[in-house]
Amino acid sequence: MTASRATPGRSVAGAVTTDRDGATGIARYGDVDAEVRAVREAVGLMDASHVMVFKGTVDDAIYPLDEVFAGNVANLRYGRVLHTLLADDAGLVIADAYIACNDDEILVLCEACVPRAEVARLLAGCPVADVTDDVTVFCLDGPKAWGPLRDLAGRDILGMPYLSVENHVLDGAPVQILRAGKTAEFGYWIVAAAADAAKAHDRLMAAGARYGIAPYGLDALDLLKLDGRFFNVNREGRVVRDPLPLGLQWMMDFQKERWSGRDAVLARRAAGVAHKVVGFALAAGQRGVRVGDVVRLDGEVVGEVVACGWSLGLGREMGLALLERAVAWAGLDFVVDAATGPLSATSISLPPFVPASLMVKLDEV
Amino acid sequence: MDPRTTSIISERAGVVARIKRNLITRLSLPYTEEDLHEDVSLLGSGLGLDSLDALEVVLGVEQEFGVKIEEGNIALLRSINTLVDYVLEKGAAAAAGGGAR
Repeated sequence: MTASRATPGRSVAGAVTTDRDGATGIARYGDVDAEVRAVREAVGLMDASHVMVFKGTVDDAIYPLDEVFAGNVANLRYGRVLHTLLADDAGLVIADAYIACNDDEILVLCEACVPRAEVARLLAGCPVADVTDDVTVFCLDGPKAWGPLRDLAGRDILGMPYLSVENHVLDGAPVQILRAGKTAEFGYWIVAAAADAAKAHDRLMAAGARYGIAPYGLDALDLLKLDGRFFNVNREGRVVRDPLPLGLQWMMDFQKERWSGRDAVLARRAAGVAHKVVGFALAAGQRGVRVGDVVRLDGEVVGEVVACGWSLGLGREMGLALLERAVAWAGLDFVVDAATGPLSATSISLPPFVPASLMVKLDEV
Repeated sequence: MDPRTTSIISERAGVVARIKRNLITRLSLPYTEEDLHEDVSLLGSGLGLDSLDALEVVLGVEQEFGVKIEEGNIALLRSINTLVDYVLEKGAAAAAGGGAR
């Protein structure tokens, strides 16, 4: 069992913890809607202790990792981050991963839907060490996420391109900062030594006060991923597993000759994808959709709900449905057979709102 | 299937296919049309287009559909679907407004 390390030995008022495949994370600190709002409108800080972290040297690990992960790790340049996935032998997703090439060091950060031992088993042939217990990952997300980091680490932070990694110092402690995130807002992942975690957490919260920072948990992250249209390995990923209907082709390099699950994925790709995940929104005022609810179109069963939740951006409940390919299009009116009765839903384009971060020009802040 | 449903799908599928072909050709993407999910992000995670790529996409859509995309309207490039929505919206406006684009 991996404990949350950002606040070791300290009680956080109102915090509720949750277990995710052997890792304990903070589900929420109180009002989940307020946590989502903080990320969409200001900045939120998440203790990402559920993330598994592996480290190795570029020279030793880059090619072995390339033979396991679906993306092209071998082509990863110094200072850059690859967003890819890890599949099992059957070509089913088990982890959503960032791989960062940081000078001589390579860093692998996985959010998984399987126990840590299963991820470690797939990486057994790679010369990387599991340092999950030695580090803490923080996620700083929101249209003002740049603020506390700029104030603590300097203006160079503003020049970091998306999917890049750099070494910085926060309050005297060395950290690795990835310009990355899964909320559709500006995001930074900060990797700190576990011994420095509590201090780093407090410093980020203090520096973020003038920007309206609030801590947020995994429940808020699930909602942010949902309406931000970021793949959630712990929601739709856990239900669907097959990366093709999930629309994760962009995370895979089909030209590569070897990666875990490649043959199975390529065989399904050649056969044609029969289903596809599509976003939907319930009609205003309707509530109660659940994962597993049947979806109908013109009276016929065409699929099922694989993820759902409240969208702050839409101001209504929304979700993802796995639909038959022929009807997996935005703009159609469906009926969801919920436990409370039929609900009216419309398939929508995602993300269904314009993230505030898209309007921020970092060279002008 | 209801004829109205069929009509909505047909119209959307046509625009989606043209935009995907445009993206693949103009940006030399190593994917087939089927590989590109309509909700894949064009910027950042997803296809990861840079500003030059984005300009290429805008030019491609403008030429293909005869619509004008305002400079700086980066929000339209959130996904293939959001681009398709824009084209369909403009197409409907043109039909109602006598073809003015």
